[in-house]
Amino acid sequence: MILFDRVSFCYNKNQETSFILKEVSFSFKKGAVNGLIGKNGCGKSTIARLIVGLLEPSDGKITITDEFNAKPYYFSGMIFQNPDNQIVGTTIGDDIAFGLENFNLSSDEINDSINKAASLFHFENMLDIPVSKLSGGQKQMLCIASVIALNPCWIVFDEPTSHLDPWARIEFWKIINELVINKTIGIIVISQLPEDINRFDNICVLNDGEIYFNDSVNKFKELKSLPYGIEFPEGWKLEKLLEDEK
Amino acid sequence: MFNKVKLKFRNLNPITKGFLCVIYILIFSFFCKSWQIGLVMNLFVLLSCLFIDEDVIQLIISLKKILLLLIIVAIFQGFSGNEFNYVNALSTIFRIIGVFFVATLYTKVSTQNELLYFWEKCFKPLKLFGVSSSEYALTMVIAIRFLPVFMDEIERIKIAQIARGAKLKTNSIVSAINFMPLLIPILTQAIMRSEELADAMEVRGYSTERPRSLYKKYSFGKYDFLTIFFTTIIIVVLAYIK
Repeated sequence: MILFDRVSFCYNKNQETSFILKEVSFSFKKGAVNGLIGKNGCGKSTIARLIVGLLEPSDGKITITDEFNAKPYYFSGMIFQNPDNQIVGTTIGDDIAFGLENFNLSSDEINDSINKAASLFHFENMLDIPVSKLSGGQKQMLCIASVIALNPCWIVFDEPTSHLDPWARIEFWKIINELVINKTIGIIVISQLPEDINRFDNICVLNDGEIYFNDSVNKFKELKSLPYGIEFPEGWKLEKLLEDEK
Repeated sequence: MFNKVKLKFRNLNPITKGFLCVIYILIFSFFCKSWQIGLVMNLFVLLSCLFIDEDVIQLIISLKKILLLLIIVAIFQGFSGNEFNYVNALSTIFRIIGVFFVATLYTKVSTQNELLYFWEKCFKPLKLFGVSSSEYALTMVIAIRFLPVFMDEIERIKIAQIARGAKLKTNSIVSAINFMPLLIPILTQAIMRSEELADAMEVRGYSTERPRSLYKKYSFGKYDFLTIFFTTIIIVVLAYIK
């Protein structure tokens, strides 16, 4: 479980008005797809960066209560929006190996982890293929494989589907669901797409640096209104219209 | 059988590959004073393509990338005296072609990890001055990895500017000035990309303070010794001719 206890964050400590997060307290649990939504600049990516340790909270405490999965004992990984900006290796094998090499693992351990992660994403026979020959969807899958190879407790996806075509999105959500069923890796997905909301089990809605809503998707459906800039998926709106007509 | 030999030569130890690349660049730079030696050495490099499974024709075609440079250098070298000196122009052209062939082949037969391994070893003495060798080596390798990405980015920005009425397609000197507005978006994109890449690397555990391991093991084999032996013979012969 990830616990945010009265966490505040501001980029400029001299300006009290520049708080991105204002004493927010909430938690994310494993075994479910945790969604984080909100309009631009509300602090979603800041929360993601706080979880993976790229930023330190200005005030409050973030606690991860889960135990490590396996070597290299890595807490949380993050998948960014644009896969092109996060692939380091020139081949699939090189890129998956990059993270493992950073933890100074032995050659055999690294090869073992590469093979396991690659087989999950059907890359086992493509390890020597240059990254430049992959499609956008395959690049995104490679980014996920590279993080999964590190056996993280949690993975934060920062708008992962925005660069994917509809078919690649279906494939992406299949993999996420498999990870959720296995319960070894906690999943947090940041998204602005109403269609992604359908896939979440729990939703945390951020509005101007504060938590507006944090509960199950069924309770989210019952909300009468949403903050400006956030909308229900079209399917839900139609369902509501039909119910109202009845 | 020959395919196995080709694979062996292609997969030489990264240090051997890097060492050979440096040595042959030095040979072309300092030993090929006459056009005959330059021609023979270039033919030798082309012949070596057969042993490392590289397409000779493609390598020759790739020369068109430096054609303008060759013409300019040939003109300057040729007119260095009172009349046009063909021998001088030819020998310089062969030296440049040789360096180009060697550098191209080296980057073609070396993977990112191999480049990283070799450069890390090369920069190791810099540790005495407090400079992290692995950091510099990784920076160079990432720069190579991102070259095609930036070429795509430049093309994309160019098309966007043309669509908004910029005249970038003419071949005049004025068009070079027209390219100036492209610099700012390209620079901005480069900074944004590097920031996100730095974050992604940090999230995946990269730190300059911790030691890193390499997942591929490299060892010296008989093919490494064979190529070094051959190169030594070439150096001795060239030194004797000189």
